[in-house]
Amino acid sequence: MSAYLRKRLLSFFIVLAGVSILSFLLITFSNTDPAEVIARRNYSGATEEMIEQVRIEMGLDKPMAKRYFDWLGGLFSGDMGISLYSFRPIREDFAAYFPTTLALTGLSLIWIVVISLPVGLLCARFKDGIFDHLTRGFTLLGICLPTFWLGFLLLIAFAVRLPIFSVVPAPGLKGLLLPSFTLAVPVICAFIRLFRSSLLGELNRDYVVYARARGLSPRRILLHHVMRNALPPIIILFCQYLGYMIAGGAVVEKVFSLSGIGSYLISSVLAADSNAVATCIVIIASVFVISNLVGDIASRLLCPWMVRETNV
Amino acid sequence: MFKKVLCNPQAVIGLVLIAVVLAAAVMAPMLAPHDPEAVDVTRKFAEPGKEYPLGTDQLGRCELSRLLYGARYSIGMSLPTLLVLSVIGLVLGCLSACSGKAVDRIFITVCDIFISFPSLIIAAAVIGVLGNGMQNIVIAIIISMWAWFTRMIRSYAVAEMGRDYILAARISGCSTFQIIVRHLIPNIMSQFLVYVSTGVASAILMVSGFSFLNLGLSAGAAEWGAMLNEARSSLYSHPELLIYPGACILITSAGFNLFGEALRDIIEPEEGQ
Repeated sequence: MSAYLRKRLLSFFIVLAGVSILSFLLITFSNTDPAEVIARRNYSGATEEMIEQVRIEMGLDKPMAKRYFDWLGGLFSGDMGISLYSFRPIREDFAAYFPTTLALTGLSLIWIVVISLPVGLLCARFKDGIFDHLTRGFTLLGICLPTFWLGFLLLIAFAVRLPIFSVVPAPGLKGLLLPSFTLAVPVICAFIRLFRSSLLGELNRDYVVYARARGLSPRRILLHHVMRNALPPIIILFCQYLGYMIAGGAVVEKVFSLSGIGSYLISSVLAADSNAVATCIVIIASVFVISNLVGDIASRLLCPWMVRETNV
Repeated sequence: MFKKVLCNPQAVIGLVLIAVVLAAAVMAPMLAPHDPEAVDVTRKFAEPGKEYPLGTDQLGRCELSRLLYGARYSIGMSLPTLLVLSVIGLVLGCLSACSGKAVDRIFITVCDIFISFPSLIIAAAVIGVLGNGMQNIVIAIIISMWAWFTRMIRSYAVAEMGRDYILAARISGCSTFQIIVRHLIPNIMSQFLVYVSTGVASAILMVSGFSFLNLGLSAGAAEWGAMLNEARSSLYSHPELLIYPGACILITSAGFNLFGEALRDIIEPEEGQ
């Protein structure tokens, strides 16, 4: 375990460093020159000298490596620089948008666990039954659905035809029920499919035959023996989706007129605000890398006897 | 193989859906009753009738014509993307599997770094730097998906490299290049095709998702995601304008997914059962 942990942590830090370097390069490659944007805002009719002076004040004339470490240090200390569009500190923007994203993602995760685990178990228990076939059809449909379209369908059904919810987001939990469900549906479908096939794969193993020979009921075998062994791929996928849902939330946020990190990212891109874009990107990607690490380690702890090809 | 595909109802349904969308894309100028870009504000939100089979949108453009031309965007962007991705994936994946441990590790780490960026983020970054344009959307999807393709093909190749026939080929004096081209690629081809088919579906979803968010295409383009975005304001008055484009996206991605899944069942009968 400790050898695995060492290797896994090493690759974690390498990937994290790569992610931050790529995000930083984005600022330097973008077409907007931060010094010029800020100089033009502060002084009307800014001359080349003024722009140059702002560049020196901001430390943009320093070598790239130095700027990278300054930027990285800023991220860790919470000073993410200022937005080139609103000229507010990016940290304030984040503080304003993050709670929505957190609530949306958290609620979606609850939907995912509550729906996909029982359905997957039922499908595996009554394989090739009516329920199994129906689920197979629905989940296939679910992974082909564009999320935003699903969101609109739900809005048409539950806000226009049956006015249970409102089109403009209601404050609190009620306003997040439809958006979080929309965000969760494709993930739920992918999960049910993976969990079902993972459970069925485990059901073919010898220990199941042994347990059956001992006289254990199929239900007990499924819930106590098979489920635990079938969980690791699900946990790994669960953690992978976490990072994706923060960014993928942009689409859902637009449908339901919410303002979270995803829509902040998109509006920053459209406003050519490279500082804010890079900060969003590095944070979302880091969440992905960290949750991936947690997933790998958690599945290892759950099933230490499983030697898997985890690419480490 | 071909006969097996025709005997599998799921594969046939998938193929029919793909054929319908391809036909719509190719024959859009012949099938469309109107110019998809022709604005006629006096006829906005026209009821479906003889002249406008599906009615018109908020600018009086023919909905059916726009849907037909929309197939060109989806197919026209996702198929070239997948072609490039396949080449990149096959070359890098096989190289990674056949080269030594150190090189393999570097490949994996670089892939891991790219996989850490959700596709939407990469699209946002690429379009932020390069600006709007169809080719930039294609570039964005390639950058976001190449690492998945490389990793996937590498894992197929690694499994295949452990087989005896590769050893036999090596003993009889095949060079690594010969092994890759003559033995490895033909043997991972079927698994690879399954991955490509489901990859087309996800590329189509990505394209429409990006244009729904105004990333990449100029305003007014007859792309399904962009049409959904424009129809947002008529949620109460004309919800059908929101339903049509989404249904087209669903049909297209379902076609490729159904076909890909059926192909997987045909190739690996024991899995997924």
